[in-house]
Amino acid sequence: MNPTLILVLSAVILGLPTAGFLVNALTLGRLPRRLVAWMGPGVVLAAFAATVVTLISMLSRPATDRGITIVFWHWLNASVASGSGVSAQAGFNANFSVRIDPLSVLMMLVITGIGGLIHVYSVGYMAHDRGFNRFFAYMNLFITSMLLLVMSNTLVFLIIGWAMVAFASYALIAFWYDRPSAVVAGRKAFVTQVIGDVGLVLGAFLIFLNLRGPAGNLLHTVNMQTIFANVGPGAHFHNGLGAYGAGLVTAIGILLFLGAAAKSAQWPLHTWLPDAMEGPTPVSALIHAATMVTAGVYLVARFHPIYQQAPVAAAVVACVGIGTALMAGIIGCTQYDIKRVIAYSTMSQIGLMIFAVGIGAYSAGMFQFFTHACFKALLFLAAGNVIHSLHDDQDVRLMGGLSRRMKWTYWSFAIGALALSGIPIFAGFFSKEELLGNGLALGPAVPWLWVIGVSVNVLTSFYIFRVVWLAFRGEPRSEHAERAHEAPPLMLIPVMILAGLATVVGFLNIDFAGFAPVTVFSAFLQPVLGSPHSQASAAIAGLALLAGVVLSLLGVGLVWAVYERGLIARDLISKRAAWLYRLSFNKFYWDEIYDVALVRPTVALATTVRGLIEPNLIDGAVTGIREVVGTLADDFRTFQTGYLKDYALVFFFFAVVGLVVLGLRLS
Amino acid sequence: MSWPILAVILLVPLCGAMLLLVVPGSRSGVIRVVLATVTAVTLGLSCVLLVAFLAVPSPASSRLTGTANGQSLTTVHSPVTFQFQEQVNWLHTSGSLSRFQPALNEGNNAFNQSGPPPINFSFHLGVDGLSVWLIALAALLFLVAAVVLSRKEPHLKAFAVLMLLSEVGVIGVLTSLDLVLFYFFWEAALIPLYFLMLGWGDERRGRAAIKFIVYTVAGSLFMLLAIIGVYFVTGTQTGVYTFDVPTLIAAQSFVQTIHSTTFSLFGHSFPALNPQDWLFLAFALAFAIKVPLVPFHSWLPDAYSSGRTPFLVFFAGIVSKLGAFGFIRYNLTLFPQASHFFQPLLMGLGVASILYGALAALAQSDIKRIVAYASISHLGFVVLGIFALNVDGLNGAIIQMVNHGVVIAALFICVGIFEARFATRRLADLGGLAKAMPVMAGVFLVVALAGLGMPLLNSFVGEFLILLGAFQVSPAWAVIASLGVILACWYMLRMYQGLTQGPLRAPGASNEESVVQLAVQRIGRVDLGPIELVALAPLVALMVVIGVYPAPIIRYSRFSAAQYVQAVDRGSLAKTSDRTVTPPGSSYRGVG
Amino acid sequence: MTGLFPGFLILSAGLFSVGAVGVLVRRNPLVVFMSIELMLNAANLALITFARYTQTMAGQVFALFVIAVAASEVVVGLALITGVYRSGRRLDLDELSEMSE
Repeated sequence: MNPTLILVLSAVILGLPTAGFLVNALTLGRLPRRLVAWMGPGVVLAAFAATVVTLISMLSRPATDRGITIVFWHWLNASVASGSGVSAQAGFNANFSVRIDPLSVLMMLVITGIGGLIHVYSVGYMAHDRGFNRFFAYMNLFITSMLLLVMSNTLVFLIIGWAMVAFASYALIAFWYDRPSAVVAGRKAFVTQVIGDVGLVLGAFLIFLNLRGPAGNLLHTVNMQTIFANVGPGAHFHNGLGAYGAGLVTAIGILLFLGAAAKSAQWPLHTWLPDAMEGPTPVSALIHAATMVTAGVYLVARFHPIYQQAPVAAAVVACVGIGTALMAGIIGCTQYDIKRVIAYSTMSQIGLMIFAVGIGAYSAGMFQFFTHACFKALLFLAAGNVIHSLHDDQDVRLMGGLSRRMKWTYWSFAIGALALSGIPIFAGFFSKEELLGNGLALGPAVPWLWVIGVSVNVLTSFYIFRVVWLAFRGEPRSEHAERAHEAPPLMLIPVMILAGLATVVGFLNIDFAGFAPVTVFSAFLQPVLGSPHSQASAAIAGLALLAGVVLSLLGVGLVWAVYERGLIARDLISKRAAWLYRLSFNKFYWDEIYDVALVRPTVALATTVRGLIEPNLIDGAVTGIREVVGTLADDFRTFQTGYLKDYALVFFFFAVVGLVVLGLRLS
Repeated sequence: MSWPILAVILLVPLCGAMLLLVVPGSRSGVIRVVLATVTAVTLGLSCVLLVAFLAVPSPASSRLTGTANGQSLTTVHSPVTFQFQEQVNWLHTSGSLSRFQPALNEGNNAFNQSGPPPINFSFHLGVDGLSVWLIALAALLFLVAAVVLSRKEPHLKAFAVLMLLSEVGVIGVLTSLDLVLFYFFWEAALIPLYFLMLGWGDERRGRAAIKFIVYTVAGSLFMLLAIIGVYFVTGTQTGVYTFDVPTLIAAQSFVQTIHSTTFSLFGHSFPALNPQDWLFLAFALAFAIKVPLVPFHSWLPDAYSSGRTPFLVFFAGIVSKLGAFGFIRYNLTLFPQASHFFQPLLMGLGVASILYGALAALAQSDIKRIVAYASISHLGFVVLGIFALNVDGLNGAIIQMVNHGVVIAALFICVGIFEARFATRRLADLGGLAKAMPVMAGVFLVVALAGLGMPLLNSFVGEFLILLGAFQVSPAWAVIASLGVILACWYMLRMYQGLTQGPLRAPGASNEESVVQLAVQRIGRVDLGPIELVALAPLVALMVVIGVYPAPIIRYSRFSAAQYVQAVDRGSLAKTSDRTVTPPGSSYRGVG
Repeated sequence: MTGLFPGFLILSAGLFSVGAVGVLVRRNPLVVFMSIELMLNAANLALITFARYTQTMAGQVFALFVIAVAASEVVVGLALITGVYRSGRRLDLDELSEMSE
């Protein structure tokens, strides 16, 4: 790759959305709407075009030579060379550099491509909103931050992108700031993200302070390529992270994962995601489907050299992922808000991806991310069409019968649902089967995790087709639903493009874990992520495939039996296993648990500080001293006659006494 | 530089104050123009100083040949070097008065020349990579304060004169290289600040002013004693009796601290504090009150919540930095061993300030008090960084001092804007104001984000380096301190969202029109006015520039930071100490 | 020459005592002021005597300081006295007792 070309391209890719944001922000929302409507999506699509050029330029090179690092500027350097009376002191130093390699290009393609489509869709969705310009400013900022996150070659700039994404998501979630619930949701998202950021920062500290080069010298670097080169396997790894060995690398892995969990809405930092549905629907699609929440998957995949050395941390990642997948799947089955169902579905699917990268199936995880970005954005945007035409009703109980009035949306949503469920030929089928096939082959000795992963399929297809049935089929259950109308073309075209993608992208990586290897996708990522350690044998892969499909169909069948035919009573679970229903309906009570365990104690502590410690202990001490001094002062007050001669007399008297004493001592 | 730039920087505001005295008090327009011009010229000069600072090839280091206990020692270089030094002898006595008072020297074996120590102080100025930034920051904040100073301020002339006098004091503290001169400026700055606090502000200002002056003067008295103590302790051990800071710093290489005595308490034996430790504590007390560190912060919330905006801009912005500056300039260099000994104490106080300030900010209902406690929390980071005693921590602390000045000034301006328009400081009274004042909401958002440590804005750089520095000393403390970052996010968003988001709310107004009407009646406009924008623009610009490209600041500060680390590392080299001190490190140690 | 020194010192002490008595017993601020000047100059005389005796400059330097301080003191003091007079009050120190609160 030509470094100059890549430098220009990456500057363009990062610069265009930044420029879009700055122009919108600095003109204080005074730009004409029509201009913003072109500029907002325009900069993102132009960045997409530049990314495609980068991809083409990359594909023209041999697979081993597809990574390039470009330094933009020295961010800071606190080191001092010896001289001028100072001995050399090693301080923190970091560049702003970007890394262009297959993994980052894949992320950039999704961010700018899907992001661009969502921008186009937003022009229609937000057309009548008061904050149109502000919305596109934040959206462009979000794209910039996300690009910074995936392109950065410096750990610090990854963290910077990480936190900027958090801010952009906060701003977009709380976009309708006069709704108190949106304001609270935004704050919750932001604070949760900051907790993750702190984990990431501490992990970065550990790497920076402990990583050693081949010669045993401390490297003091935040350059990610250097880090990966020196945390290599085997003996070299002990060399790499000093004498602390496995414990330290496990700590690093877990701290980094704290950041990943906050961003990807994994337990225990997952509670912000459902609330984040307070934002406009394109935001949900952009943040909570295509890009932001998958950053955690990217992080673990990017740092796989560390996770390969930290089996304990990787196991934690895998378990958290699969646990979240199961939990979110269960919750999704009982929710009524159409966006929340999709949000829990996202949480669940990302749990599977996290599981995949946790067990070392990095390529499979990234493939699932890729297809998921397509079909989940599709689902959100299609749901957005529904919400838009129902005047912001999001409750599926108020919908019904929409398939007749919104034919295109219906079919698009159905394709999304099929892809999500992993029904053959749709994108999700290929990615999910590869993921689960790998899960069976690579997973921890006991295949329990795989069993859970596969059974999540039932839940997935159940909750998503439940929405399909409740929202689109049957009879309209509200006035709005009766008068629903198809979305305008500006909102329909992106949805249909995504529907097309959700149908075909799966073929990029027909692997079937060994059956029919057309592994374009894995081969592309192979220089970065390497090959899986072991391949599933054909028999096991076949079994996994079959089980997955059967369970998915079982889910669809259940929906059919319950909602179409009424063969099974709808309230079967809520009657027979009320505890399970309540657990699911109340989201496993995590919000309440955190409220009692974290939020209230902190607030109580803060109130104590303000109401008790400040006035009594801190001010009290001062007041006490003042009273003592004041009492003493009252006693001495009688001396203050105010007559100058009295003062002078006292003064002279003591001066004479002093002289006499001095004279006596000297003589 | 061939002309005495530092003296000129000191003289400009002083002359400006003199000039203002002859302007009639009724000509408020003229007063404002003069004030703005004088502060702008000072800022221009300090920018010249900044540019010239890096152009100087290599700072000359002071040399010192010491003698202790009759043995001659080798020449040492002062580990900390200063540029643009200007020195004029002020008072210098020779030793020959001694014949009158032979008794004074009895029992002083170390110093057996004839005669008492000469009194010797001079008007000595100079800057290093630490003070050069703080001077620029001070000059900028005084200019910003001059811009936001309203024409309708009562007793405008007195305010302006006092403001310029406090600028002289502040810059004097930052430039003086003689302990007596330093103390003079330190106290001289207090007087105008006291009157500014007493004369302008809300009804509780009297109590706040008294609290402030009593607190700081109490701290200063201990420092005065300690200055005299340093003079004699250094003098008796090395034969160098001086108040000159570079010489004193160099002389510390010869000062031996011997811990032969211990005392026991509850069955444990502790090393008894030696004179150096007491001196360290006396200095530290004065600076801890000024910063302020918890639990010496009682004066701050009252002072910050009752003051006027222009006063707070420079008072909160730069005066609190003087304490942190003092820690670096005097505590680290003059008492290297004690700095190591008290490192856990001071880091602990830093962490306590971070968390205590953050928690208190979280519970306040008065927006000015939220900012006040946020300031305590942020300055806790600075002290934490300083007493990490390593390059990263110190660089972080220096950059964070600049950041804090910029951010806190901007926060007070923003809060003052809300207060002026809606005549309330209660968070619960206000809400949803982004609708009525969108530009203000945007600017305030940037400022609040800088306050909570958002990356690509300035505070992140400082907090990152400080935490990295602290992490090398004690990972546990760094982790606890980072809770402060999470809390900062919480209380800043609580304030930002409370004011600008949610349903529209203001005292006496129910909908958008009436809110706008109310503000227009009171102040003429609702959104940001041109003057407010001019005042905030440089601050916001600095936040972004420092965040995106902090390298220039570090380029100035890193050399000095390395020097200070080297100065304090002498404390860990002493062979005679029976304390367990960490080995000196020119490079990082691993984490245990 | 040594013989003259006691004389100077005795003169200095005498002047000082006269000044001190003046400060203590007189009620007119102007007279009190003059008495203070007398005391200061007595001190100056002693300083210069000792300087001469030890053949050093320090005493003379301090005498110069004292003269400078005395000059500024007169400026401030006379301004205060004039201020009191202008406010229409009798120039009597015993009447100025506001400092007792």
